[in-house]
Order: sequence, then structure tokens, then C-alpha cells
Amino acid sequence: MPDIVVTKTREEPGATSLRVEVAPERVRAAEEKATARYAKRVRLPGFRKGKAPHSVVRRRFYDAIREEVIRELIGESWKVALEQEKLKPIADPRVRNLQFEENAPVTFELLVEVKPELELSRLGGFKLVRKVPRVTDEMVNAQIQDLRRRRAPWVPLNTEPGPGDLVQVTLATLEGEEEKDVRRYELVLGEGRALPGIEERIQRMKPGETGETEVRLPDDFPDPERRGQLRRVRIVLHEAKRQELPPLDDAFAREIGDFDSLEELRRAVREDLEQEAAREADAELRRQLMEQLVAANGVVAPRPLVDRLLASYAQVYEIPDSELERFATEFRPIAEAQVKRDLVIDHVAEKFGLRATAEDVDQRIAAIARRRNAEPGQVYASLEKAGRLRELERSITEEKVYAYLLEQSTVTED
Amino acid sequence: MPDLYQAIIRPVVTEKSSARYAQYREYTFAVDPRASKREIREAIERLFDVTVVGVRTSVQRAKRRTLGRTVGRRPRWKKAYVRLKEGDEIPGIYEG
Repeated sequence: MPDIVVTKTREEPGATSLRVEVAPERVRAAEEKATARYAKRVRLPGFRKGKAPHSVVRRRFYDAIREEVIRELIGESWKVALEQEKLKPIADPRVRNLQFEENAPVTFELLVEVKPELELSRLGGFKLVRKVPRVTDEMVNAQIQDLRRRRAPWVPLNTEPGPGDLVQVTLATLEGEEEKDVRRYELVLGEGRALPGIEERIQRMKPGETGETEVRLPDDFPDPERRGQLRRVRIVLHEAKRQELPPLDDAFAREIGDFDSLEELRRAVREDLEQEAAREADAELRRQLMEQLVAANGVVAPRPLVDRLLASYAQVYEIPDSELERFATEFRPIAEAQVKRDLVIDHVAEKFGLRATAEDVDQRIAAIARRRNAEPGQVYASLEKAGRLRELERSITEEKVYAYLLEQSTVTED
Repeated sequence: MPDLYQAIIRPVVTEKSSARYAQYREYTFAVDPRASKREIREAIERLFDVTVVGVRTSVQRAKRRTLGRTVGRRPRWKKAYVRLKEGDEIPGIYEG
């Protein structure tokens, strides 16, 4: 009979349970080895270092030795289990139900998270729609308007300011004639930064003037005690500025960038928007494809993987422990979708040899370098330093996989 | 020795005593200096339910101990080597 017997007790996608039994002789051997190791280096009263007999050492350090034995046995059985069950684990196993008694076999269970075997019977023949939203003139205009606003200088104003104007004010609440909570603010009117009553009063003042008004503190005021109370507020309007939009002409276009005329700027903006729309359409197309592929093949997301992903989400978003459960319920579907997606991509990349090669990466880096007018070596170094090479590799793999999969389905443009 | 159980103080587990055990199967104890061989024999027999075939004792002199500048002495004590009837044993001293 072999020293270590491993039997599979339960299997679900992504997880396997194994029962391990270690024969007493094997346990004893491990114990002796551990004891010998200890005996070599411990110093006990009455003995020179390393001279204490094993029996004495064993008695004195029973717990520590036992722990070491357990560790060793688990390690050994893990090796046996891997060999025997041909597991592809994605993490170290967890140990449960450990039984350790004198002169009896040591038994325990190993819970292993494994890479699930994926069987994709249908990869293509899906009907997909690629819908590129049309870029309208209004969208181009809005974009250009935005550019204008960003370029517009603020010009001081001598009259009453209106919505969209930038004002500098000092606000103070009045108790009798005493000013309290005097504070200076800079705000754009009409953005709801100040209470409506105050904004309205400011719009009836000229720069340099001082006014008073009565306001009700809103129901969502930070201090619950003061909600709904009436307050007299003194307002000093120091300065008001209005944004002056630059005229929409060729000069503006030249100022924005390398454009000779307004017409050229418009074209560039439109091109940008169209590219953006195409990217979105592609992303949506991939989403459709993945959804159908997952559904057609009944891909299941292994629970351990989903849990692991959820845990990493929670870490990224710094979710407090008390919120974890709610968070897990809410994000489980998202995590499941991502796990499925990753599994499928991995599987397809593996099976059809679509993983990004070193040449792929080099080519991509060369392309980035051309765009940035930099040396490929520099780009490589900076990506490596930022730890983003893997990400790049992954995205190339994904692109190749999607390209491969899309070839096998019908895509109708809309 | 009014109380037999106070005769035996503790087993002595050292390199030397373990070696003695390994060679002669003799157990070593620290005992009350006032205890006689006969008393020690009786105490061991009752405490551990064994038959003693031989007791040899030796009084250890009080050794000088200095602690910084203060000079003191450790108490003198009596050591007893106890040999048991063949087959008898006191578990848990030299063995796990």
C-alpha cells in the first residue's frame, strides 16, 4: 500500500475536493525527520546545543514538531495529488478536516481551485449586428462649442452678472448685526453651488455692491439642527466675470492646433467622433458575440474564480467589510460575466494558438513609438517600468481572439 | 522525613543523566538532602508504582554564584541514582 492515498471526493467546475490519507509509518518518518531537525539546533537546559536526545526534544517541542509534520505531509500529498489527478491548480490548496492522532493515519481534505475544462462546441455562425451611430452636424457643433468654451478668456463685468458668469463673493450669515461664518467663494452662477436665493440676489447686484437677503436653509443642509431655518445673509459681490467666446473663424482653428481653416478643424472633429463611434460599435459587437457564444456553449463561471474576482474588485474599490456582502450580491453578475469572458478568450487563444507572440508585442510597441515619435526601446522600457506589458500582451491576444471568432460569424452593418 | 512525597524534588534531565539512563537504565532525581536512601526508595516505589533495586546518592556542594558584585551561594542538594527492577519503568522522563 502506498504511503499516501488520495481520492477524489467531489468535483464541480473550477473546484475539486480530495481526501488524503497518510499511513502511520509515513507520519512517523516525517515526525522523526522533524525531530532530528529540531534536535540539531535547539539548546535545552542541561544539554549542550544539539546534544539533547530526540525523545526529550520531541516531548518539549511536541506542538511545533507536529506543525512541521503537518506542513510536510500536506506538501507531499499535494505533490502526489497533482501527479495522480493531473490537476491544473490556480492557487495553493486549502486544507480542511485535519485529523492527526497518535498511531493512526493522518487524514485531511484538500480543496483545490482548478482551471476548469472548457468545451466550446460552437464558435461561429452567430448573427451579429454592428451598429455605428451616425455622427451628426449637431454633435460636431457641440464639440466645437466645447472647444470654444475651453479657450474663452474671462472678462471682467461692470453690470449685474447672469447665469454662467463667474463671481467672487463673500457670504456672511447675520445674527442681529453681527456677521458669522464669513467666507469667500468663487463660483459660476447657475451651477447650483450656492443656495438659489443667494444666486438670485447676486444677479441683482453690480460688482462692488453689498446686499442682504433672507434664505431658508435646505432640507439637506449638512447640520441637521439648522435645516429649514431662516437666515439673513449679507453678500458682498467683489468681482464678476463673463466668458467671452472666441469668434468662430480660421484664426480660432489655427489656435486650437495644426489646422489651416475652420473647415479643416470641423473635419478633424468629425473624424474623431466617427472613430470613437466605430470603437464603441466594435466593443458592442464583441459584447454581443461573447454573450451569444457563452449562451450557446453553456459556459459556467466557476464559483471560486468569481469569488476571487469579487474579492479583488472589493480591494480595488476599498469596500469596507461591513458592506462586502451587499457588494458581492450586486457585483456577482458582472464578475461572472468577466470570468466567463476570460475563460473563453483563454481557451480560444490556447486552442488556436492566438496568444500574443513576442513579435506581436514588438510590432505594437513599434506602432506606439511611431505615434509618439519615440524610440521603440524607450517605449518598451517605460511600459515595462509601469508594469503594463502584460496588459498590452493581453489586449493583443484579445484582439486576435475576437478577430478569429468574428470571422466565423455573420456581421451585418447597420 | 515526615512526608515521603516531599523527599523527591524533581527528575534531573541533563546530558549526563540521559547518558546514564541510556547505559544503565538508572533514573536520576534531585531529592531532599535530608532524605535517606531508604526513604527515597520508598517514595519512588509509591509515587511510580515500581520496584526499586538500588539507590545511590551523592551530595552536590553549594556552588558559588556571583551576580554582579554580590557573591552568593546556591544551595547544596542531593542527587539520587535509582535503579529499578528489570522491566519496570517511569515513563515521561527521558522518553516522549
